Amino acid sequence: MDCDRLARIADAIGSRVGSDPATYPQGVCAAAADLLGVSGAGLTLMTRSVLGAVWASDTVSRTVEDLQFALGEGPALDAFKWGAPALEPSLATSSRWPFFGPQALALGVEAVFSLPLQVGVICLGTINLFRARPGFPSPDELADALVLADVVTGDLIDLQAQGMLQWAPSDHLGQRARVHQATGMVSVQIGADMTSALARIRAYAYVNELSIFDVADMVLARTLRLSPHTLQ
Amino acid sequence: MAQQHGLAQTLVELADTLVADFDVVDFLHTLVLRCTELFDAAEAGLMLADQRGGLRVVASSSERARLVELFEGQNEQGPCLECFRSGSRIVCEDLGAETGRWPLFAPEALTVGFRSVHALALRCQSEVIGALNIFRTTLGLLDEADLVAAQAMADVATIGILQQRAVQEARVLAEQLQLALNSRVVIEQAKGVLAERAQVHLDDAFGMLRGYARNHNSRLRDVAEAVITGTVVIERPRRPRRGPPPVSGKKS
Repeated sequence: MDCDRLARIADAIGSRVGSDPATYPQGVCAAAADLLGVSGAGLTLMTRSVLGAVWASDTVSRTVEDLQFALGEGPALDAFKWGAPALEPSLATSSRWPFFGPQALALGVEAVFSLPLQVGVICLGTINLFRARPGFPSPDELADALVLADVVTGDLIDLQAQGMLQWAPSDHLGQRARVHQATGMVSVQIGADMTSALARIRAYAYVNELSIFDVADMVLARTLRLSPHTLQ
Repeated sequence: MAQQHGLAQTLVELADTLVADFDVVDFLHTLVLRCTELFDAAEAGLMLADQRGGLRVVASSSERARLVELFEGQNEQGPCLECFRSGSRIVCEDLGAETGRWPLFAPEALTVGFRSVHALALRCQSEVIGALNIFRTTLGLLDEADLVAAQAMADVATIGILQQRAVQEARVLAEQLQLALNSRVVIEQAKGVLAERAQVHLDDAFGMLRGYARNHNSRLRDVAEAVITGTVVIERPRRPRRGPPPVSGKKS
């Protein structure tokens, strides 16, 4: 390991993170966006491919992250599932993510790079980098990104060891909490498991050109009820 | 006398294993076997302290029952125990002269055929995690160069074991993190399930979950999981009665 690189990256993170561990994930996103010559960055923590918690360096990146959650498709999910980086230098010419791709492009994102946060076989989540122009990261940038992912993984583990990652109710889930609540309701409505319920919500959102969060709100407000038998 | 070349080769071989796919059991076994070759030893073994401070054999150059028993007996008495407790090298050039010092261990070792023994501490700064035992059928001690080499082997064993433990610990913490995150998701889902089943507001649903958890001395996450799988059914809290209860006893 190149010690200069490690020191540089640790410093970059350190200078953007306050003493409050709650600010750590946000600081990492800011550091990643500045360090790596990308337009924006996101950090997601996931279990079983449910995007549990998300932070981002800016609103566009945040929207791109939410997009992956809404569509159930994207580089973060791939990186998480395969435990390997998902690098796409040209969304415009790629058919890798038929739903996510065009929508990310519409937001001005031309290239995406997702790196898993791995501890052995356990993946905690991903660091996701978004770029407004197509092209691969340079070898130097890629090395930086990989070291960043390693450092962040180690830091998260340390924070966990010190009991400093407090998961306040609904806080870090943000508006995803409402999606999970709606998923619970829909699972009862359609008589199916959570995975199917979430798929139904996503499908409804897509067909009706609504955001997944709007659909969740409708379910929670009881103005929308899904049933097992209709195409609704 | 250990060949310097042989030692260098061995260290390189062992260092190679300290990377991906590291199998600590395999590593330690290789290490003790190399010890027998490098130091003209009949047998070698490695003992580690468990959580209660007792010494356990984790690697041995052979499975001979009497050898294993000899090692394990060192929980009570013997060079390994002294080495572990003191953190210092314990050597004995003639076991025949130490029956006073180790009245149980020495005669047994002699019966098995050993005449001399060396015990090296597995040590990292002030922490002693175990000991490396080298048994020879000849009288006398290893020369200074070999003693240094033997300690190097003990040090390599220590690094390998501590690294493996660090990885284990990281894994446990990662799992905890995942569990914590997943718990949040499961609790939100359970709120939805309850809200729909009992036809109550989400806040009330959360109250029902917490109430049940408290009354049954259970964790919120476990109750949430059970609600989702249907193994627990939580009834909507009854409204306070204003009049006499219905005669038939039916629920309102």
